[in-house]
Amino acid sequence: MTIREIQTHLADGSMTARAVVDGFLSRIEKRDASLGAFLETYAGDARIRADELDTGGADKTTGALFGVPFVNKDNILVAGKVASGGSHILENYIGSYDATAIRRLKEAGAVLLGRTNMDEFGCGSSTESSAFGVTKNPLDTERVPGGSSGGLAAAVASQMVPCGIGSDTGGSIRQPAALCGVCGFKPTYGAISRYGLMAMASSLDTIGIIAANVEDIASVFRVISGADPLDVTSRTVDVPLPELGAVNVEGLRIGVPKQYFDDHLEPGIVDSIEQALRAYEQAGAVRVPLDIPILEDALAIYYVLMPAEVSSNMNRYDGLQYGSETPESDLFAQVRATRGAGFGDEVKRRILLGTFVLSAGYVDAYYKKAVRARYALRRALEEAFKDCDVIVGPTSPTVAWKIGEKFDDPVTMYLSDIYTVVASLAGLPAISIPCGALNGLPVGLQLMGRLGEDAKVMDAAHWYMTQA
Amino acid sequence: MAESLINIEALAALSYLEIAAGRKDKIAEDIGEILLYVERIRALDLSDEPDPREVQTPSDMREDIVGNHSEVECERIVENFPSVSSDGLLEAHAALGRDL
Repeated sequence: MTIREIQTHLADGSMTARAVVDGFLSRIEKRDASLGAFLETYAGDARIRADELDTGGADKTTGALFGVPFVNKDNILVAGKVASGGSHILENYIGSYDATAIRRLKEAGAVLLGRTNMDEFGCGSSTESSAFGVTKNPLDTERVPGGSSGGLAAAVASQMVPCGIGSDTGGSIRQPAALCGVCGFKPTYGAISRYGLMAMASSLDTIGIIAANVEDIASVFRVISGADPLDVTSRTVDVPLPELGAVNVEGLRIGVPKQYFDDHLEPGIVDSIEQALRAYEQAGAVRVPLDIPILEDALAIYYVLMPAEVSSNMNRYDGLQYGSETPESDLFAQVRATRGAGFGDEVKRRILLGTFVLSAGYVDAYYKKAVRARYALRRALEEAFKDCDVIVGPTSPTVAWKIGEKFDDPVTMYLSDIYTVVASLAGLPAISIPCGALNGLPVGLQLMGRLGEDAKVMDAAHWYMTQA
Repeated sequence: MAESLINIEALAALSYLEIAAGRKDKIAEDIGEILLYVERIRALDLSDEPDPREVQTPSDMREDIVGNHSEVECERIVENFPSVSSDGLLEAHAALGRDL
């Protein structure tokens, strides 16, 4: 059921909030044993909340998402619930407050069903780097669901929940959405408060949304977006709320960078992307070929800046500030042992890499160069957007791959982010929507917009999903 | 070339990170390959780009403010401490004065 269908049932009295919640919990019980999308469900709390909503309980919430079940990625804090970030080092950590996005969803009447699996602290593209096991792709359980929000994408794709929120730092919402055949939206940097989100790479982190369709994403975005005094970055942009159906596809200028169709792209995916572009053109949109050479360097820029910030943000997990300690007699030995035992290999790799690019002797050649390159990338995109309204291309260079296929080859794994990191580096809104299949596995189409034009991106994507 | 720059022991020490002996070679090799890939940015001509130190970030930074938190929130924060003594003092892991 989509959010609209749930709301229709609730409005006409054909279902109660409790029946909706019971229905989804029952589906989780049946399906999740074979998928591993959830780390924990909150069945008891969800039923109590649904009953409160049905009986017009204490707070008489009748918000925009009244009775709509949702889930959160394991790196977003919920008061009184474990938030482990997919890591052993935080497996017993209890959130002391609700993240702003969680609070806004609850206030709008949405019902939290549980927390979903993820690559440890968002470091990964397949959810194989979770400390709590691999999540499987619901469309082929021998394959990965993508990552790092693989649990969330799998939960939505298998209809265990209509929607959910997670973090997108370099594509962690859009890429798993593409691999699981659902929609994933990353907002303009700052459009959704990150208060209560565990930091991975602070200049890139956003909270995004996964749902089965764009209409549901827009419904959640309207509730959770907007300024928040608890996150200073949330006040930097003015992001209008989406009104789907407002976009005029006739005359819409669609930028298509030639760099998005490089050697990394699995050949069959081109056909699906071309087909989608032709659908827009047939409706009167104008294809604008773009040549943005620095896009070829985006992944390299990202894999310098992101680990640098990861290495800094992970410093708090030392067993003293956060995390369970591994006792040693010497303080520094204890910190090393705690972090050594608590972190998985991918997080360690990124911490070490970040330490390297920030270290004396290399900081100019790597980190500072990457910071400048990021400005160059942003300026190149600003120029490109003078000629077009949205930039369109593939979300992922491949469809979902076999579990274990890329796990021991980090560079190949990182290449799966090659098209998503662009919007992250520039802080731009972007969405992935399904646009066909290759060998029976879904292909994702990515639309990216100007800073603050989240509504236009969603609307252009909504047109494709409903009209093309 | 990049791989030869990696001194995994020194990096691990700088990162306060214990790396299992059996994993060191593989992690060093992985980092070497990643550096080989990201080295492409060193060839970029960015002489027209501003010095990062001179660029203002767009965020509207404010001073830290001590907020009023609910009793429940405070209780939940306390619950994350390793333990609470019988007289109500919060116990944290010792950071100083340990036996070496």
